[in-house]
Amino acid sequence: MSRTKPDVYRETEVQRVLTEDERVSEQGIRVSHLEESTFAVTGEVESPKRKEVIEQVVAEKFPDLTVEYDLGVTRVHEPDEAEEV
Amino acid sequence: MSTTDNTDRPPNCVRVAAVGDVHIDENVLGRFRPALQRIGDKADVLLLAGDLTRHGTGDEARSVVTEFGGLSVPVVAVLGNHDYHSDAQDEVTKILEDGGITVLERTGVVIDCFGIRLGIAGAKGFGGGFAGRCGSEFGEPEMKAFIRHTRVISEELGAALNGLDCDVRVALTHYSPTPETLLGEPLEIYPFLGSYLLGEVVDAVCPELAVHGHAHAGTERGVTPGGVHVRNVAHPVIKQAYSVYQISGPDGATA
Repeated sequence: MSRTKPDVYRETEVQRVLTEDERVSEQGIRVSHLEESTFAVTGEVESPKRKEVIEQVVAEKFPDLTVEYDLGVTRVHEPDEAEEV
Repeated sequence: MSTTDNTDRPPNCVRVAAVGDVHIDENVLGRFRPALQRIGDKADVLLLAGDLTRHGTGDEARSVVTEFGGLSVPVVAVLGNHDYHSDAQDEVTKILEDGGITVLERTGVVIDCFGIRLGIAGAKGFGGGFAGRCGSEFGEPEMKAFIRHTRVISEELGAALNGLDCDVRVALTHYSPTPETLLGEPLEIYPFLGSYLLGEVVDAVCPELAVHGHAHAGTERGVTPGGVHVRNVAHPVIKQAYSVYQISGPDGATA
């Protein structure tokens, strides 16, 4: 008897690909289950290119999943003030 | 090692700039540099709290030197787990050092900041979890090796901190010495983000500040159980090129 793999395993597979696929190697991206076969990928990356690569790799590895992305590129401005500690 | 002249800086203090988890590769190259051009106006030293690269390759390390080398302040770094990924951590360290970036691993350095001796001891650190919810050196060899790695690093970091002859002390790690700066991360992964063993050695010496990275979804500010100020400077946490922490010098310092 074959069953559809529970979404919790798919969620973990996506999370592991984001870390272990050498094209991505991101540990700080969060994968969340939204509804059946639908996931959210959220977090911050260091360049616009990284966002593109993440979407490309996830689409390639998980063509049957619907993925909603909310990825930002972390800002790199100078600090306005120092904190006294 | 000493800082350059800066007559506009506030007196009797050291200003420590810090950022971690910059994950430099060819696509990130150049993003930080504009904000670093005037860092000497804002800080006396820049600390890099590990995960300087994405995969820990020599090419990525050279990109780190291009981005963070040749600044107007000394740059002091520890490596992070990403910097070990290609098993080329020795090559990465050499490239960074050749590029003028001091790399600490269970070692320390003292920098003269306008008459105040700033001592920094650093190590990558490792995981294992926090008091009451942590791994032990027990059972399978893999489990024993995991916790032993953290224990040995912690003990040697403690010795390096204790051995600094300075006025102001800072501990620099990639992994966290406290759970407080992990707030925002899933509780289940805390054992992969830091260890109480790091906190214990920090508390034994009580530096003025402990700086770490690694926890991208964590919180900037926290303290150790012993009351040492801890700052998580992972770039996605501080959301700017670097943060600056101003630490008062000892009474009677000449700065």
